Amino acid sequence: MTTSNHPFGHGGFVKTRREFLQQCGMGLGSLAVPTLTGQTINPLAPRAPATAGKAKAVIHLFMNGGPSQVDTFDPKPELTKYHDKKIPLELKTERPTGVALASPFKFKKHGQSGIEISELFPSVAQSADDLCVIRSMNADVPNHEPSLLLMNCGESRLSRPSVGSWVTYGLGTENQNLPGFVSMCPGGYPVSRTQNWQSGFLPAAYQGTYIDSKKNDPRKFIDHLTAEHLNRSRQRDQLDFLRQLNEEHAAARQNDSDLEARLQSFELAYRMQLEATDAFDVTKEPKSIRELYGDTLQGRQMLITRRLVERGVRFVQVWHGAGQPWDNHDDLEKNHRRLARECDQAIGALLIDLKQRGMLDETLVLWGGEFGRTPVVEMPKPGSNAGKINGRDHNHYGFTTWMAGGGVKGGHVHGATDDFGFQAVKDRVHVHDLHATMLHLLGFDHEKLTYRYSGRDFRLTDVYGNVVKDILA
Amino acid sequence: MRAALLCTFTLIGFSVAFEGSPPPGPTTPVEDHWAFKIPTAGTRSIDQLIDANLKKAGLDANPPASRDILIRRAFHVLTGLLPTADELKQFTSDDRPGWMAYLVDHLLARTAFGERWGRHWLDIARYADTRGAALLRNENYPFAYTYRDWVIRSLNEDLPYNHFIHRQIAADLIPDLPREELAALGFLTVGRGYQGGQNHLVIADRIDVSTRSVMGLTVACARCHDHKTDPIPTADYYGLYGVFNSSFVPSKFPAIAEPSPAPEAKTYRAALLKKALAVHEHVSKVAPKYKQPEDPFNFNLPGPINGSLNQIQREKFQTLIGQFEEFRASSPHALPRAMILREKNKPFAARIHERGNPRAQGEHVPRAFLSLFRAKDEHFKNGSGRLEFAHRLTDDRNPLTARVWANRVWMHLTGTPLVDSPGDFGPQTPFPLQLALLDHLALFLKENNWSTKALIKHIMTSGTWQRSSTVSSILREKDPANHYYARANRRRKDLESWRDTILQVSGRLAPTVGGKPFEIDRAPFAGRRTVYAKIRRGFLPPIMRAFDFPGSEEALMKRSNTITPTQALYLMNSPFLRGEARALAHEHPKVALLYQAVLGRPPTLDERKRAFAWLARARSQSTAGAWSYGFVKKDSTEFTRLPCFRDGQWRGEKPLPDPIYGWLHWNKKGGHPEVDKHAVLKWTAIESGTLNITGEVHVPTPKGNGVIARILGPDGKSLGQWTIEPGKKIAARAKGISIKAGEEISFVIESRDDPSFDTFLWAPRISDDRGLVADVAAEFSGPGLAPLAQLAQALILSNEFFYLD
Repeated sequence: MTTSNHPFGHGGFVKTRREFLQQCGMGLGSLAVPTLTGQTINPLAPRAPATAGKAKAVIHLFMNGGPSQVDTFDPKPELTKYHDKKIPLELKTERPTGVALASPFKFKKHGQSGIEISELFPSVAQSADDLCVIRSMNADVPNHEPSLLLMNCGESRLSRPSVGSWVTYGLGTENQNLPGFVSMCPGGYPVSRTQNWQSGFLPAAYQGTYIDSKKNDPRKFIDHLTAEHLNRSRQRDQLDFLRQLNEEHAAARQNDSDLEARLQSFELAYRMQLEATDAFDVTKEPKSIRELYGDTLQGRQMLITRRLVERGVRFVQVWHGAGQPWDNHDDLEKNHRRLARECDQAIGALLIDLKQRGMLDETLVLWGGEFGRTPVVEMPKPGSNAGKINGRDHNHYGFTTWMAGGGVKGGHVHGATDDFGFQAVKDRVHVHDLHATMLHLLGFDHEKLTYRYSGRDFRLTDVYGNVVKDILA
Repeated sequence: MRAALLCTFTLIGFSVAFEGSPPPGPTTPVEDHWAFKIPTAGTRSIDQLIDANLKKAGLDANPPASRDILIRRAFHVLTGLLPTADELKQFTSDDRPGWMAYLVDHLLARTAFGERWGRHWLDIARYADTRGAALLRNENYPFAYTYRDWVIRSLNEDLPYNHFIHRQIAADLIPDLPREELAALGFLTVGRGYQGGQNHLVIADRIDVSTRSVMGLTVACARCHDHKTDPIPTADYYGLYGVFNSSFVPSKFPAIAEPSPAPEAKTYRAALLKKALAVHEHVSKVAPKYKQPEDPFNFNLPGPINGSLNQIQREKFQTLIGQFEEFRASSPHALPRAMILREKNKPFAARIHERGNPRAQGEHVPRAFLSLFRAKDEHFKNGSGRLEFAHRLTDDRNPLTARVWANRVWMHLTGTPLVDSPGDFGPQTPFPLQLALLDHLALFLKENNWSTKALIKHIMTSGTWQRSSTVSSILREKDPANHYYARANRRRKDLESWRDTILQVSGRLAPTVGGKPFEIDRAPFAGRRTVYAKIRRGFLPPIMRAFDFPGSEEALMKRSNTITPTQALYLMNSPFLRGEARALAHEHPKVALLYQAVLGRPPTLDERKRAFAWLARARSQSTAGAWSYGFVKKDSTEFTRLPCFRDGQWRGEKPLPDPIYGWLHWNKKGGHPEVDKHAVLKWTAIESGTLNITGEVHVPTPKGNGVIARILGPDGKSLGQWTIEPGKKIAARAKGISIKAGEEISFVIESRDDPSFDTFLWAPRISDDRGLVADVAAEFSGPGLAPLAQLAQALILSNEFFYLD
């Protein structure tokens, strides 16, 4: 973002949250109410980036726990040859590992592009020509917490804003009655919990709103979303009374936009009650669409995802499940098969549905975990695994993510790991590079989308990151 | 190429190596870092120190706040509660010079002080009532509360801060302490539990909490290699590792009170023993060689027996222990016990774990304090050295502890700390603008025998603390973050203080002090202070999650302070708030009384008028809509409301089918009749007029025998009757119904003797010639809130109630 471009810039940047809201004049949400400072800029109002980006919204499908690249999108025939033998490559991961473990899954070429995808993802494979598979991803450490934070916030130890927060900070959101940034996880939190969608030092308006997509009743997706004690007009009347009380209180206390921000939070909440309930209600979709996605947990959350993006939500993150489901230290074959079966149809449907509606061009879909898994087998270790010697350890040296839509090349494979799929060797893409590329697709120079905090201009990519030009359409 | 410098991430407990370029070293030599120097005494007062900086910045300080505001502010920071009208009057009319000192003394003497400040401490003690690892079967810490209560009591008794620290680290090693004091050790033992023991992670947690929370140093970073930025070598970490690994948590915690002779308590003890024996019997059955221990509450299995259990047997074993613990955790008769540590017979000689990996044992390190603050060969001599460590934390040679605590006290009293990172005083932390003030406070603390209360009084009687919170345009422009303290910070209530003050004004605040935790989100909602709520580590209920309560996974140095729509939804729609609004309106059944109770002032004339007009409108609109949801028994005409509203349905107490009401229910789209009860929706007119009814009745399931629908007019006469066959839809309309205010129209569905598959959709709309009058689909709601309670809710949601000037 350039200094001149940002609508609430203060010489480009604002310092504190308090000051920020002062400049905005408004807190959360936007209402046509003149503010104390006479300004009506809303932190979540939609904004254009410096250069028009192809992507307008992001869907991040997070396979938390770390899916194995050599069993999904990165076939390694060499590994089969070395099965049960020591490979000539020793890399240290979190736990002791042993000999090569061949993938039990068959790979096949798909689409005109002929991208090789394993039997685990037949539905996703139908959209092979829309996928841009990055086989040379790498991160810093083989541990969940820091890797989750790196993938989500660009920094593994310190508290930093998440990608979704940066994106809503940069672009605002198109629908003022829904959160701009939603993080959905069925049945609870992933590891590192709310840190994954934190706004860090960015204003709290950019924090992700967590939704438990396991709940059946759309009114329960967000806690206390429904007023059970007042009808809508009575509640409106009650909030009007509250507003007048608050406005008189604020009028006697100039220059404190916290007060206004809190007032506005009630207005957004009031509107969310209707709009969010409607957005989460997949029964409003025709039967054919519901069948396309499948009547499953994943089917429902992918369909909700599309409904949210369709309604102008800027960033939707979808987690496979609570904890770290893809973390298969034991029984990899059985578990990867189950996990892929749970989500393949739904993800495949999402890609097809987005494309049919003409939304895929403007929606960047990202699939992947916080890291991948070792091509070698994990050895028994008390307290770490069940000692079955049929699973894989964490692997940050090389793994695969794929993107689709939003201005990336379809039917394209970028980069490569070594012969065994252990380490990214060709056209390596670090997580910082992925972030730089995502921001580029959204119209931002990752070195210029900054926020001044504690005396320094911070950015998502810190001092790192290069846009991966090769994958841009 | 990245240099392979390895760095750590240890707070969560995994040994992690980072690749990255070496960081730039500190720009000044470590020994020159401000926080590592011994504070020097000055002669200037708080106000003189603050004024000196204000002068340099060319800022003018605000005048003092009004007496009224100061009294509320003092109540808030010291007790988290509101003054009553009488208290307000009493302290406002105190015309002694130095009235604030009297007020502070008065408030410091209240139990509520320890409840407020105890919670501040519990944030940095990462206190929770559970272990926090979902996979552990016995998840509860049934006696964690004894530590929480110890913290509250010690703050109330003004236990000198150095002793406060010593006891939390080593109460078991201090001679002649009363046994209740053993509860202090919870500081070390209420941390996160790990599956499979993971002793090195437990130790990492203890090192972290005792160094970061007390000294403001991130020692735990040195677990895998020398600290990147601070002068803390790995050897320092393992020096402390040796200390903590020389202690263990015993299988049985000592009681810190006498058993009650009451018969209920005896019954409880017998039942508890039975549950314990069940555990041993299970083991005896699956491992015949097992000899039950003398102490039936000892569940530590001998190695070979433990090894012989298979997965299922072990799970059963753990489940039985879980049941035992759950029983003990929930019973009011369980003796309070202290979660202690004990010394091992032989102290542990630690070796460095290379890169934090316990399998890569490096060189031996002696048990010792941080090398930064000791002579090279000065090691701990007595046993584990834990007591020596405790003393070293508050030793004169260690300049950090007093500063760190003074910084916290200042933060809790003013809203912002002097050092912005209360848990990190290391070389990365820049020279604070108000260092002279911080040193003044730290020295004051030590000179006054480490009395926290004396320090609090010292700060609150300063002119600085008593300034008004008005934000002038100049101050907003020049010092938006208020680093110079030209004004007081306006404070928003945190979870504890808003919840407790709401209970206070609704008259439901329970005076019970201490004891077992209560469930904060379970109806009927207890009126206990929030500090006594059960904290499930990492699994907080919505109310805690939404309002910035710490997750308690690790010590939290400073709470965040967010404003979100999630909070607004809680305040608008939660059953808790609804109940408080009702209680409040019941307690103070008049507008003027409500204002006085909630806002501590009478309404202005304008506010009064507005409230009355608003109430009149609310009354005319009958809150939950003019609709009633109920039934009429077959062969009767008497309408009865359905008793419960749950999950968007009016129905019986239990989920469908309810034992009394069966499938009978109404929702916003329709409902279900029962064989002997017709489902009846009733609408009451607010004004007279001539009405039309539209809508259709639909029985979506093409099975069963359908239903009969009727509309009954104000006189009870039928305005129309329709039979709806399974799977069919019929328009149900009536026209030109003349009605007077207060009269009713009923919409009746009866099953045709067999209520199977009688789910129906019927959401009638009522209109007159001007348009829509009522629409049940849009107006459907649960039990209404009486108009005065709606008003009460608005008042407790207001900024005036949530902010303190």
